[in-house]
Amino acid sequence: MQPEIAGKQDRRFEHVGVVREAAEEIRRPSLTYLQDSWRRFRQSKAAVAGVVILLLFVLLAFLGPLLAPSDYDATDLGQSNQGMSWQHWFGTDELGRDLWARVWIGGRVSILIGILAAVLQASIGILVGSIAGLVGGRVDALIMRVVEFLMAFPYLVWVTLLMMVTGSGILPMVLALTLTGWLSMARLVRGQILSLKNEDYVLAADSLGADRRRVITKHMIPNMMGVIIINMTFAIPGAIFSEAFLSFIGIGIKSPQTSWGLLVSMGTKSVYTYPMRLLIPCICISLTMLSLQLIGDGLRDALDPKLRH
Amino acid sequence: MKLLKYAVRRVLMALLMVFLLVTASFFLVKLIPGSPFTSEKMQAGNKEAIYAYYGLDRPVYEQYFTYLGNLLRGDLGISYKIRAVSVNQIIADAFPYSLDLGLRAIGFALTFGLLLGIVAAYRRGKAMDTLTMVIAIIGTSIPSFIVGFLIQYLFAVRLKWFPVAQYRGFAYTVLPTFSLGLGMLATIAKYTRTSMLEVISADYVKTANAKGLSKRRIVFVHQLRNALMPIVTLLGPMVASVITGTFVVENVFAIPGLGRHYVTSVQNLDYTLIVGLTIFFAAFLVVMNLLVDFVYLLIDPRIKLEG
Amino acid sequence: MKKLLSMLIVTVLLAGLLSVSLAEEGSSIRVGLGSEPISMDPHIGNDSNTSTALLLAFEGLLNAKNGKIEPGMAESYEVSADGLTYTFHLRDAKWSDGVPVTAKDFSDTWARMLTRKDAMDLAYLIFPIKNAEAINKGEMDVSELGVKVVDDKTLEVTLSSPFPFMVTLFTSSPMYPIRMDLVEQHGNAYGNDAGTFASNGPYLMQEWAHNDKMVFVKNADYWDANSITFDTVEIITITDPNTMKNMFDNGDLLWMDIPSPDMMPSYEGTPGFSHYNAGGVQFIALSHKGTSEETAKFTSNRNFIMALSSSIDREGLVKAMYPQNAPFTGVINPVISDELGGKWGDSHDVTDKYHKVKADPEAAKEYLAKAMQELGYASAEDLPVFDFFTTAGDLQRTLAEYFQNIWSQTLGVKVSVRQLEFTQYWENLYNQPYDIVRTGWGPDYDDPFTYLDMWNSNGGWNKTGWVDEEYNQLMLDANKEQDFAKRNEMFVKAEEILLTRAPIIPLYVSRGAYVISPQVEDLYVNTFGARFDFRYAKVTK
Repeated sequence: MQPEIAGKQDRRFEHVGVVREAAEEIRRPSLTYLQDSWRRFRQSKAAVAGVVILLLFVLLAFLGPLLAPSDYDATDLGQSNQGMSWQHWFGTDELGRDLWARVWIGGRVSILIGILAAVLQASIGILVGSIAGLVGGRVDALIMRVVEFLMAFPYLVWVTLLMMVTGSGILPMVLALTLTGWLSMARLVRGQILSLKNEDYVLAADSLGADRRRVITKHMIPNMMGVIIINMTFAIPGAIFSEAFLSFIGIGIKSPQTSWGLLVSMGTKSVYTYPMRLLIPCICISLTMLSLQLIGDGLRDALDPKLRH
Repeated sequence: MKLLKYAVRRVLMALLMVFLLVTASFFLVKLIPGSPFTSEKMQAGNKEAIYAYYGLDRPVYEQYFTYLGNLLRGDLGISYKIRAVSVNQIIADAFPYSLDLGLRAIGFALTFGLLLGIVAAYRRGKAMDTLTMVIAIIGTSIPSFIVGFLIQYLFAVRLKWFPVAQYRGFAYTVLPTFSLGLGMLATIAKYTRTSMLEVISADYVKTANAKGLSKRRIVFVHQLRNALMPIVTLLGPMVASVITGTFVVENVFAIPGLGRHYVTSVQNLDYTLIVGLTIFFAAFLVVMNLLVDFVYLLIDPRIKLEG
Repeated sequence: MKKLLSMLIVTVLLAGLLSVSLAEEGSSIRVGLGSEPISMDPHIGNDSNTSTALLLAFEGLLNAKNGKIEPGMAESYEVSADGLTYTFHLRDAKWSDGVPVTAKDFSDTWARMLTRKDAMDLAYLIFPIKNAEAINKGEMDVSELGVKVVDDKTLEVTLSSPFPFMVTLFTSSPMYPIRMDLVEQHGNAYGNDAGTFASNGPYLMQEWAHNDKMVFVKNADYWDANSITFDTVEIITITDPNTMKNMFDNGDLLWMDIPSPDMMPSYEGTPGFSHYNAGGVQFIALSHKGTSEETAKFTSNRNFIMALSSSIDREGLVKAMYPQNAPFTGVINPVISDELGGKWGDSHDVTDKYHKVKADPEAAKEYLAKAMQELGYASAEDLPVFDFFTTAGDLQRTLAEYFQNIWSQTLGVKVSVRQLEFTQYWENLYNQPYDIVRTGWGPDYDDPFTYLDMWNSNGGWNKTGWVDEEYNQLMLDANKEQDFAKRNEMFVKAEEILLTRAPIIPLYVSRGAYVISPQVEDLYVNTFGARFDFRYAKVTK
């Protein structure tokens, strides 16, 4: 937007005249928000690598156990404490159970817990957060106090307590993780709604007489989706981590089920004798975390309207 | 005056919150099946005697009012499992260790996290940036309970640079500080980088540049001050949870901090200790959040008090 | 903000070292324990770690040294001809604060033990003393206790019936003397810190940093101070097994009880490695009441119990999971003394007699078929799912998963596993319905009776609902029997009844292993009471 200074024609430039058709030409294909985001997401090598790793793990979690010589919980004391071999790719544990099968069954459980917990946390968080944000006033104040109240509980104490009351299992574990997990989502959604409420286009839609539902479905939700999705991608590894941690301190899922956290926990006990029993599930957790984080970062960049070009 | 009024209101709210927490946790712990006093070889009648001794045979509401009365005098009761030691004493014994370790870890994480984050933002896309991101992702991808173990194995057992465990002097603090700080460092670096990137291209920085202000002034007064806002928010709960004790690091390095009590008090159904720890933690968190709010008031020019 | 930041950093740098000096070089021994001793009040804890610490600081009337009973606070003692009255003659000994140890200290201590309301777990251990049980139950006044202070240095103890192994009880930690004046002075705090109690043993507690370390220094006034070599004994609490191992390997500890069976292979065969028998017997018990009427029909069915038992490969299980343990198919631990001067296991071997060490899947299936026929079931698929509960922890989890899987593989019997913390475990075992429980029993004294009395359904531990009048009578008779040979025969009969009628499935005897720096010798390991005795340990040069 350099203003042309009269009489001082810059010699470096040459006037080419005006071609009206060219001015109207659209060189880039028209892309919707999602298409553009997807395009940008694909461009991020790290994010794509994350997707590939994650898909690989999901695939292995579902198909891996089929390739094992025996069920994950089938004991065979004659085969106990074996190293890696053609028959047992990851070796066996003290009860002679095939670790390849156990690692992938454990992966199933860990990933399942991660996804279930993330979805549950998000659902509660979105519901409560949007009620707080949309209704506002006293309801909002009350909800926020409750959120603060729950945050003030020492997490470990109350999760341990909950698990002692409900007994172990996948569902109690998911509930325990949700206990405090939904709080950050609720805060986030509330914050988003409060700031969206003041956005010009929402004010415009309001003043043009659009009904509430239309404002919410057409304006608010699409604008919040990005933030919510990103938060969920980070909630999944968070839940997998917490599950692993709880298993590590001995409040895990129900026998004979296993999970990565439990395998790590068992692995640390025998790390000096059989280091692979710790390393393998550890690498699985770390790579899953890594891939989910890369995807999350990629999504954040891709979904951020400010970075759209 | 406004500030004072605001402060008083916030503090009152915080007190109310702690009171509600005490009430909720006091009744919740009684719902857990099991008993702190059953043991292998207990004889018939002994359990009743012990319950009577600790006043656990009285109605729950009566126990609650007694507890509240004691609490007002600052007495958190006596532990059932760590026989007859007062909860105050348990916290007083263990907290200094957790506090010391927590402060070190936060100092370590904050120093290097901010440094890495800022440098990465200025060198966006360069080697330093990539390195920061790699550290950030590694730091948040390894389960916390493995980090301590790996660090101990590598630096104490293999290389013998530092003692294996315990907390007896500076050399002993290095590995636990590193183990505890690594995850925080990664998070702080990541947040700092993101918010610095936003700040660098903000209008007021452009204006400051255009005014010809010194680079130093711009970095410290205009950029850092604004970029640190999200970190301050993040720091409140982080400091509270780290300083009040962490189970894993304290366990691996045999540090007698508060962390173990969070897990064992519940396993032991040590009612008074569970409630005592809850109060302690909540009070700490509430204070930290208050502090964060006041820091906000001081550093954020956009926030003005209403009413 | 900058100020705040720099202030924070400075605070961190100045936060200072929690300065605790290392034990001085030279004549000191540092050992690691996996959990902190509970209290220095001998009436509160009797787990092996607490007893280990108590043993350093206290001494009873008699002293067990490397398995032999020797004089302790009593220089000498006499037993009356009927075996009922013990007369002790105390030596001139002093408490750590210089006050002389008197006969009254002992009688006061035992009176307190029976009547205190806040901790009575251990009171039953002195029930052999006349009227002790009635006093503990509140049926009799404490002045009726069969203990008489003749003078400051003479104590007379009367038993309700002769109890051949009473002398071992006089060495045990619950019978150590304590100072009642200090108990009154310190109240609840008694025994919780270094300055809150007095002791009379070879070491005095100098420092107790909770959950960290206990430091004991040699008591120069101890009557047998010449036998004590180390000036200090430092007990470190390390809960993480790998940390314990790392510290030992680095030379930070001179001794450790190997904290995880998986670590055995790295020490086996090295100098300083030793196995010990922990005295415990591990088994599975079944409830006659069950969680429902349907499960109860099975859990009280002999053939069903034998089907479960025959499916278990004890030898393979122990070899794979607990290389230090030994498979076991009896009730009385073979290392216990029989009453005729030998070890029970040398003269009475029930290996493979009633239950088999190795799995026998065919026999197991036959047993189940018989059980189902008796109970009117056609197929294993119609069987209910059984409840199985055990304690918390990874090892217990693996063990439970073995049973769960092997019963399902061999028999098609399904169990649902619960792992409970101790606070819930005992409560569940005593007061709640269950089908199957994995449990164990440690001996209180060196006599086969300690493993048998618990199955008596009149009192005792037996909460399975199993009642056998013949067995109860046998226990009563054995208690009265004076002839050791006859008593021994009764024990054999009792063990047979338990293995053929009681709802128990023996698994293995628990053993442990420790490793000690090769320069240290004369560390004693006891099967009863304080497991590890560091008092006489010394360095070989």
